[in-house]
Amino acid sequence: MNSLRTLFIGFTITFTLAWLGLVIIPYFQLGQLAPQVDEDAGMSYPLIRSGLAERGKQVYQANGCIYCHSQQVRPMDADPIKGRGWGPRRTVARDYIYDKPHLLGTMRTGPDLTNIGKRQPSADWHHAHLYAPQSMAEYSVMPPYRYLYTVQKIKSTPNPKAVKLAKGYQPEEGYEVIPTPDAIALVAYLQSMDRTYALPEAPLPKE
Amino acid sequence: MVLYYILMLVSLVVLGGSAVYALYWAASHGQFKKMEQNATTIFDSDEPVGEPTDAFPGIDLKKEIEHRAKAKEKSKKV
Amino acid sequence: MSKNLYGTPTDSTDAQERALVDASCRIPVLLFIASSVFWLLVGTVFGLIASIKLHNPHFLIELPRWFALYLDKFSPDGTVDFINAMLTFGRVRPAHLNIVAYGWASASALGVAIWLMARLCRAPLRFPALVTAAMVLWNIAIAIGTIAILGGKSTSIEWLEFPSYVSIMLFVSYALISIWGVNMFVHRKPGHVYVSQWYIMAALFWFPWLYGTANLLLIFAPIQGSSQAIVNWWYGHNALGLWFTPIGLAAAYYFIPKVIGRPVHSYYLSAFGFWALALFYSWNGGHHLIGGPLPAWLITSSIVASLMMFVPVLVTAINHHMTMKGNFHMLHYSPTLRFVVFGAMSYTLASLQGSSMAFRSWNSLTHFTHYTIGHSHLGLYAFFTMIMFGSIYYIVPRLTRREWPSITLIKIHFWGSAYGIILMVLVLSVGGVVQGWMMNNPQIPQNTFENILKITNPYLFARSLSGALLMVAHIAFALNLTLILLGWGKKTGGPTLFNQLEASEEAKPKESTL
Repeated sequence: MNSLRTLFIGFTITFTLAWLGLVIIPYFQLGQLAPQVDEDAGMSYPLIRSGLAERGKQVYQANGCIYCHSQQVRPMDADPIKGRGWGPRRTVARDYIYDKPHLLGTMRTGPDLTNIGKRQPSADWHHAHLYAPQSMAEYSVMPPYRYLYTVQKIKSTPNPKAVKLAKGYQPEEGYEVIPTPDAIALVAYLQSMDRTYALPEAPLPKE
Repeated sequence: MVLYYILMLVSLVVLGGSAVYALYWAASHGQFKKMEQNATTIFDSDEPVGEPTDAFPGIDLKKEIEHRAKAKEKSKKV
Repeated sequence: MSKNLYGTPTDSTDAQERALVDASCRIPVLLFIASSVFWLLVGTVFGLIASIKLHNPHFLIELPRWFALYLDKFSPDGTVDFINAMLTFGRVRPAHLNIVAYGWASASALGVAIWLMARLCRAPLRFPALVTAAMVLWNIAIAIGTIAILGGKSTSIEWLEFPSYVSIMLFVSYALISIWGVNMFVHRKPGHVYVSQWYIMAALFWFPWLYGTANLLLIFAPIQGSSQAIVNWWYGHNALGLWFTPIGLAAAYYFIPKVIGRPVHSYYLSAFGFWALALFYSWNGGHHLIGGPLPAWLITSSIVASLMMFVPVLVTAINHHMTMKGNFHMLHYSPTLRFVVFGAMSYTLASLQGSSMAFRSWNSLTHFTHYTIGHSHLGLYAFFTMIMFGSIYYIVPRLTRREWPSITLIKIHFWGSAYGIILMVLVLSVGGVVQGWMMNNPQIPQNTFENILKITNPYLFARSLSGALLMVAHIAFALNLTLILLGWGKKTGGPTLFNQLEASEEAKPKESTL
């Protein structure tokens, strides 16, 4: 049984190596990435989120958006980028340096959201879509997030913040739909999602 | 930062060390010897090899035994 | 002297020893099992709700209007919205995952592991109060964690959604059991250490390490961006591979030989399989991130390790099959064997499927789809949960000294679970492949997002049906368990159930004395 013992000691060492390989080395390899600074334009990528958008990220986490939406674009062969319009390039580790926790996601019941801020820059669109997803796409299986909004009686003048809804989805006559602070933060977060900048390790493809 | 280094080092030593120790222990206490005999350690004098220990409640295990005996005989004849 | 059906005396010291061990485990193990089955029911309800929401997005999005208006009258502002928020898909789904993973699967694993450990150590349970305290803490943690997730305090890290205070409680509870396990092992009756003990000891040792590291690096002192993803999936995959799998296999390696009364085919292979699992499984996590923002060497090493998993899996499969060979008719007679063998077969299937999913091309198709959900149910339900069911069917009568009250309920449970999970895995696999193929081929004009949703819809509906089947099965199981715990089952005398001729042998001498 001597050979067996040698074999087993080999197993043990490799088992510890797995931990080293999957946790520690990536930590040192990726843990200290710095943002990419474009000195000519005076910009630093990825963009730092505003405080409001950071709060919106918490709303995103609390309501489990990751269970249907991913935030990563894989290399061309896996995610044909032009066809689905999810982004001009694959995403790389540097894109996520400000994300704590990471929200890469594992499911695409809904579209990828890596660049949703670029795709849908309008806050009005997002509010209407969150309140009544089916008003934007009838076939959508996204649940309405009505609890992020309050329906109130219109006072003397309509509230400028009121959500602009399509016909058939509006509240009763004389009422309006006002976003809560959570909804406003969430939309700010969605609008901030834009990873269409170029990085040295992931340049934008030439047209 | 320093905390990470310490924690990683400590857990690496503790985990790796204890795994190696477990192996060393197993090998030196004859756990890898007489392998096939050791497979029978789960059986007892009243639950010996050859006797099933679970059945649907109320089932007649005697029929089951007869069934097994017949099957054995058949296989012997063949 | 009482004898069993085979004429073997049953009042030996061995039998008395087992009776003593069983009696010492009674309270903590039954508590673990009963609480886990409670969470199984809760988790199934959440799973079913989440499943229905995927094909019917307006299902249960808010309280009925009349009830909301009524509640509004006497509750503080925002209560109705707070409750509505609890019902949203993004909260129900993680609640389902965490309840079934920690409330059901882990708790039942602990119950089964404690019983197996005591039995294999051939020593009465040490510190039963400590184990019971750990069980209480565990359940309190699950309850608080579930409410926290529903209330919007989820960390949004898959498999670790419970907020930090809950993970501390779970960790402490787990550490108590681990310490107990080591203590038990030290005080075992001298003799050989059976392979199941290796598996259990390893699992009790690995899991706190995994759970602790993952929580530290993700929640308490989060590391940067995408290295979090790798820690996340290192944990997520190893929770399955180094916690559920060893416990499941420990149970299979004990119950299959024990129930059919035949030693495991090759004990050498079983030990080999154990170490191979330890070696390869821990590297697998990276295959969850193929194409992700991570270094290529890391992903590639994970893919290689995933393929190497063929070795321990096939070893285990061959071993179980050869043990069972010639004894398959026993499946008719033993509920434990039915469930455990179903689970052991599913282990082979789930692992081979898992390895195949690490191939880059297949992964890029199936990764973000329902196919993966089908795979995880194949692993955690068809393999692990089924083995736990089988183990519980063996353990509980020995602890309560009663037979299961109803054969019909056992059969409903088995067939409901079996058909339910087969249907679920089938529809999710087919639906997932269709979804992935359409998603990855946008150049074909028909493959719009609209059509993807429309085509996957019937598959998701069928999944809800399978969920309903599982629900029926679980209710039957819970009912049977409640009845036996309430003392409804037929009483049996000795420590060795089923072997005894209590009906005939014991009754006869009484008649003769009359």
